[in-house]
Parts: sequence; structure tokens; C-alpha cells
Amino acid sequence: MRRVTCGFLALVLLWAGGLALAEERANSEFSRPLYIPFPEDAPYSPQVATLGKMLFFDPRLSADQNMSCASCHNPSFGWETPVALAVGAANIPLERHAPTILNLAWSEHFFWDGRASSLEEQAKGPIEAPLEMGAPLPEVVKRLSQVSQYGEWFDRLFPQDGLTEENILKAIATYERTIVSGWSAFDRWIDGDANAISESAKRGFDIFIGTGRCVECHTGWNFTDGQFHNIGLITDDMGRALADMYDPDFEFMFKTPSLRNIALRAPYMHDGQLPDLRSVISHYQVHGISSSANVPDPDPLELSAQDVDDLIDFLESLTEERTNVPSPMLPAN
Amino acid sequence: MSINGRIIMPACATLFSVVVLSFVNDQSTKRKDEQVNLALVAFDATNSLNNAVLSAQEVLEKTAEMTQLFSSDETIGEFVKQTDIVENSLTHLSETIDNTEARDILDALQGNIQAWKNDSLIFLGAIQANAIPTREVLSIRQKNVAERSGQLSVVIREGVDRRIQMTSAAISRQYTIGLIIVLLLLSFVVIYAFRTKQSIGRVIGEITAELGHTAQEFETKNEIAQLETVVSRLRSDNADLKRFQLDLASVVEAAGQGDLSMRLCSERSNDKLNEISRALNTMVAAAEQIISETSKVMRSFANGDLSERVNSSFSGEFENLKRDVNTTGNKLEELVSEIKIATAHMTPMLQQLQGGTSGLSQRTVAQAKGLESTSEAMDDLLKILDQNEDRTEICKQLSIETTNAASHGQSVAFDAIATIQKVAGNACEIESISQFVEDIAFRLNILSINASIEAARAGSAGRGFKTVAEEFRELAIQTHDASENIRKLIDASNVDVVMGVEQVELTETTFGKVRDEIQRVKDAIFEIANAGAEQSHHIKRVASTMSDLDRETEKNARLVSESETVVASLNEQASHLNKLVAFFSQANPKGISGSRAVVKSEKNSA
Repeated sequence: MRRVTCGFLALVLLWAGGLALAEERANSEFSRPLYIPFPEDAPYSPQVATLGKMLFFDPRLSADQNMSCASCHNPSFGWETPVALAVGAANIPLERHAPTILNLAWSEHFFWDGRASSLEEQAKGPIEAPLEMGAPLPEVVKRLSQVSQYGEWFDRLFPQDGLTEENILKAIATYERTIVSGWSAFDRWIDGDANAISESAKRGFDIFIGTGRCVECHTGWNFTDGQFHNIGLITDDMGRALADMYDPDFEFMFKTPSLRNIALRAPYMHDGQLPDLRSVISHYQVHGISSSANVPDPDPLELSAQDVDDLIDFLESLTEERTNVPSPMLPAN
Repeated sequence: MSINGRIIMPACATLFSVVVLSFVNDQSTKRKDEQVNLALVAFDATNSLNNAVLSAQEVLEKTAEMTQLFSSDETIGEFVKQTDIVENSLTHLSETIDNTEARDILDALQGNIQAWKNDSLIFLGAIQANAIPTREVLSIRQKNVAERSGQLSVVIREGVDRRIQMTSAAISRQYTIGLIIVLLLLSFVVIYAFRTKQSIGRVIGEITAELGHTAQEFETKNEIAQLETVVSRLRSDNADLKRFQLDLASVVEAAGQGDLSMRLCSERSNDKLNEISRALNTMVAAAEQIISETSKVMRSFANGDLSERVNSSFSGEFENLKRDVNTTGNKLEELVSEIKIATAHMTPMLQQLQGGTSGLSQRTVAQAKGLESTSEAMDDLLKILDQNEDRTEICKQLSIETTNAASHGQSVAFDAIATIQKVAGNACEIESISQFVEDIAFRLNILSINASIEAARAGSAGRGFKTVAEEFRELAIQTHDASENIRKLIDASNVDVVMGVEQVELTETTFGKVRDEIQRVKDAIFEIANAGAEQSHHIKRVASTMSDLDRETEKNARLVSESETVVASLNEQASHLNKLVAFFSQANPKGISGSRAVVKSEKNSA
């Protein structure tokens, strides 16, 4: 009997300590930033962002005018596409799953393997890639010059050089920096609304930062450390190792994705091999975080079924509560 | 206080309080209106603030949607237009708000608006920044503003409601106070009217009592009618009084002009006036009697009869007048008799005095003549003394001159002695020269002897030369003789010089003696001169005393002659006085003691 009481007390103390720890972490790490940072060389302007949005949604940026940036980075699906591998303009699947473009203003590396170091550089890739939009930028410039309003607007917003490749990329990048995941129930809870998320989600958050060790890579309000990790996925993709000069140290390493709006962004992983969150958690239960491909995790997670449910509830609480992305009015040819 | 005042005062008080009450009431109503207006202005301000914030937010949303490309200037301009409205509203609010709670909320609202505006302007690109607010931040900011302004309008509404309630309560309180004041004034006016009626009634009662009537005689209760009755009575009494006044005026005027024969009529309807008339008549009669008797007595005094007296008896001041007139008569009688006695004594004494003064006059004249001659002799003496003084002065001069001459002679003698001694010195020198000449003569002699010897040796060749030697010898002898003579002469001269010196020294001593003697003579002369001056000074004093005596004697003479004239005129006056006193006849001419006794006895009887 006494043993039972002692055990109960210890549990209560642990629970209370955990709760206190959770709150402390919540306050220090998980508060959302109120302001979006902009680089010195690409200052914010609402007009440039608007122009960028138009370009982002404009299929005239693809060779056959059958695809826009938004084709793969669809706001309805957490700025991704709900297919394992993205499909290019020629209806040929690509090698990787489309990554989200949420909260990229805080990011330093772009693409799954981080081969681009700025949004401008990144934006150029998919437009020109033959399997994707397949439109060389000079072609795009020529085409957009035909649209009188684009010419007019570029002249107005970039009075020095008007409509150029660089300015097209700059406008798109500026727009992309303004794309920030909206307030979620979790954020309200962090801000002090105790009833904003379910008890299950709260427990899930404790597992997330505690026994689940998820927070080791998914840090901060954006739930990413911005680094590259090999999480023991079964894949032929060498990841970060291919990004520049081949580096075997970076084999199978991919960028930690943000977990914001994660429930909307299935399927998961760089190649969309895991169809839902449950399978993602189960992957970590089996393979852990640091094994090389095809090698089981020596220290796998031990989570109960309830823990998994709680974790999923928590992850779902990261979905923004209000999505309002009206489509731009594109200028006529 | 006049009746006018009594009526006007309460009326004014009533009017004043009504005016004050209506003024206060008006002010309160105005205040209430002001409160309502303030509330309306504050509501307008919050409304326009909210509207402007919403409009600005619309601009913001439109930009944030990024569906169309709007001109930056247009968007910012539109936004700033709305924020200007917001700020105007804030200014209005801060001007109208006066309670602390609302002020605190307003301050917080201003902070909220500032934050919202600042972030919005960054978002619109009006302010360049390296970080832009998320849309959630913007909506939170806007929500804060809206909530705060809602709070503000609630507080303003509450404050204004409270204020209006207070003002309404104040107005109803004022109405109650006003009602009480009006009631108090009304009761005051009623009491005042009652008291005024009472005091008028009392005055009428007093007047009628004074006129010898009773208040019950009045047929009416109207105080004015009662006053009229009283006035008509007073008027008839007044007519009587006027007639009496005229009568009295004529009697008094006649009395004033000396006619005391007039009398007042004492047969009038008014008994009081009749009494006054009788009393006045008695008074005038008494005055007439005393005046006539006094004038009779005075008249007899004027005629020289001092025995007349006032005999009737009077009372008060009239009796005093009678007594004074009689005393005056007695005093005059006494005086006249005493003057008569005095003049009778005076006449022989005056004659004696006249004789004395004429003798004195003659003696004084003789004295004056004697003094005159003495004075002349003194003058002569003075002249002689003056001459003496002059002469003494001349002697003084002469002695001084002589002294000078003696001194001169002495000095001349000194000079002669010196000269003679010099001559003696010269003789000595001559003696030494003659010695030298003699020496030459001796050598010349020896030379000539030697030459003769040499010539002898030369034989015949030296014959001529022998002659020359002879001549030389001759010359030596002559020279020797001459020098011998000179020495003799000088010796004789020396003896003479010694004698000369002795004689001159004697002369000098003599001159010294002469000078001393002359000095003594001079001193004697000085003493004489001083004695003379003193003498003349004394004599001058004697002379001036003499002239003083002369003047005094003259004055005495004048006085004596004046005394003579006065004594003569005194004589004359005394005889005149005798004649005048003889004019008065007396009741008791024998003497002073009798009349005194009369006065005493009268005093005792009085």
C-alpha cells in the first residue's frame, strides 16, 4: 500500500514538474514571432509582394503555360501537393515530394537538400527545370514583356531596370517571405488560453518535447532546426551529399521540415513515402533518428498507442485556424 | 421707512429671488445641455474613430490580400487620411474627457493606436523596416484598438449618465429650495403688510389723541379716510393758530420798535391761545412800567437832581434793574460830594506850588550862565595845552638831530686819529730812506777820497780827474746835510703827530659826553610831553563833564518852566471842577459818611 502511495506521489511530482517544464519551454521557445524578417538586399514592399504573388500564380511562367508555382505549392494543402512525388508540366513525376513554402523568411537553406541559399536562387530552379515548368528565364522575360501591365508594373516598381529575370525572382521571393503559417490553437495555448487545445494535445506536446525526443530536431515555434539529418529512411536519394560537390558525410541527409500545418501536408518525407502522421511516428519507433539507411535504430522510441494518439492530436493543433489566400487578378495578355 | 419703501422692498426681494432662481435654473439646464453635448461630441469622436480605424483596416486588408496592384501612394494616402481622422477624434476626446478613468483608457487607446498605426505603415511600405508585422499582429493591433475604444465609450457613457443624473438632482433640489424661498417671502410679505397697517393705525390714534379725540369716533376702518378726517381737524386748528400768530407778530414787532402799549386779544375760541395772550400781556405791561420809571429817574439825573429814585415794586430781572438804577443814583451822589471836598483842599496847595516853581526857575537860569563861562575857560586851557604839545614835539626833534650831530663829530674824530697815525707811519719810512741817503753820502765821500788819491798818483794826467773827485766830495757833504735836515724835520713832525692824536682823542671823548647829555635832555623832553598829554586828557574829561552839566541845567530850566505852566493850568482846572460840581444838587450835601450809611442800609434791606 505504502509503495503504491509513494509511486503515486512520485508520479504526481513528475507530472507537476513536467507541466512546469512544458510551460517554461512554451514561454521561451514556442512563442510565435510577430514580425517577418527581410534581408537587406531585398527590402519589403507590398506592391513588389503583390506582383510576386501574381507571378507565383501565373502559368505564363511555364513553357507550355500549363503550370504555375502554386501548382505544386498549393495553399490548400499546406503549400504542397497531396501526392508523394510532384508531377511536372510534362506530367512526369519528379524524384521528390514538393516541400512547403511556409515560413521560409526564417530559413537559410532551400530545397530538401539545401542546395539554394536564397529564395531568389531557389525560385529560379523549378521555373527553368525541364521536368518542372521548363521555361528558361529569358523566355519568361520575353513572354511577360508581351503583357503590357506587367511591363508597366515592373517599370514602376523597379525603376532602374524594369522587367528582368532577377526582378522576377526578387518579386516571387518577396511574396514567398510574406507566406507565414497562421495562428493555430497551439499558439493560442502558448499565449495563455488554457482551453485552446485538448488535454490529449497537451500530453502530446509533453511527449513531443519529452520522451518522443521530437524537439531535438523540430525546435522552436517553427518546429525546425533548419539543419540536415539522416532519419534512416529507406531511399536511394543521397540527399544533402549531392547538393554541391559530392560529400559522403551528408549521405541521406535532408532538411528538417517545419511542422506548421503538418496535418495538411501528407504524404510525408522527401519522397512522400509515408502516407500519414501515424506512419511517420511509427517510422521513428522502428528506425530512430541516426541510423544509416536500412539499419534499425539501436534506441527506438517506446510510445504507447495513447502516446501516438496524443502526439497526433498535438500535431493537428499546429494547423492554422483561418486560411485566407485569395487568388490574384492576373493581367490579361 | 417710507410707505413706498415698505411696499417696494418686499416686491424687490420677491423679484430678485425670482430672477436669481430662474438664473440658477437656467444655468443648471445649460449645464445639463452641456453635459449632453459633451457626451454627444465624445460619442461622435469614438464613432468616427472606430469608423476611421475600420476604413483604415479595410485599406490594410485590401493590400494584404494582394489580389490587385494598387498604387503605393494611393493606399498610403487613403490610410493616412483615415489615421488623421483617428487622431483628430483622439484630440476631440482628450479635450472633452475629464474623468480619470476615461483619461487612463484614452491614454492606453492612444498607445494602441500608435502601435497599430506604426505596424500598419510598415506593412503598407510607408515606413522602411527590416521586419514586417504578420497579418495576425495587424489584426491583434486593430482588435486592441477596437476593444479599447469600446471600453472608452462605455466609460464615457457611464460618466455622462452620472453627470446628467447629478445635474437633474441638482435641478430638482433647486426647485425645492426655490419653492421654500417663495413661501418664506410670501409669509414675510403678509407679516410685513400686517405690521405696516398696525403702525399706521397707531400713528393715527396718537394724532387723534393729541387733538383731543378718540379713535372710536371714526366711522370707517379705512386708515386713509381716518387720516383725512384728522387732517381736516388739524386744518381748522391751524387757521386759529395762524390768526394768533399774526396778532402776536404785530405786538412783538411794536415792542421791538419800543411801543409797549399794544396788547394781544384774549377773547379767542382756543383757551390755550387765550392763556398765552394773557401771560404775554402781563409781561409787556410789567416791562412798560419799569422802563417808564427808569427813564423818569434818568431824566432827573440828567437835570442834575440826583435825589430821584424808582419806587414801585417789581419782580425778577425788573427788580434787579430797579435796584441797579437806585444804586447808581446813590453812587453818583457820593462821588459828587467827595469831588467837592477834594477841590476845596486842592486850591491853596496849588497856589503854594506856583510860587515855588517860579523861584526855582530863576535859580536855574543863574546856574546855567555860570556853567557857560566855566566851559569857555576850559576851552582856552585846552588850546594852550595843545600848543605845548606841539612845542615839546619840536624839542624832541631838535634833541634827536643834535644827538646825530654829536655822533657824527665823534666818528670824524676817530677818522682824524687814524689819518694822523698813518702820517706818523710815513715819517718813519722817510727816516729809514734818509738813513739810506746818508749811507750813500758816506760811500760817496769815501769814493771821492779814493779818487783824489788815484788822481794824485796820476800826476798831471789826473788833474781833471781830481776836480771831479772834489765835486763828488762836495756832493757827498751836501747829501749828508740834506739827510740830517730831513731827520730833524721828521722828529719834529713825530712830536706834532703825538700831540695831534691826543687833542683829537680829547675831542672824541667830549663829543661822547655831549651825546650822553643830549640823550638825557631828550628823555626829559619825552617825560614833559607825556605829562602834557595826560594833562590835556584830564582837562578834556573836565570839559566834557562841564558840557554835560550845561545840558542838564538846560533841561532843568525847561522842566521848571513846564512845571510852571502845568501848575498854572492845574489851578485853572481846579476852579473849573469846582464850578462843575456845584451843578449837582444832593439829597445829603454834608459829606461822605452819610451817603455811605444810606447805601449800607439799602444793601441790608435788600
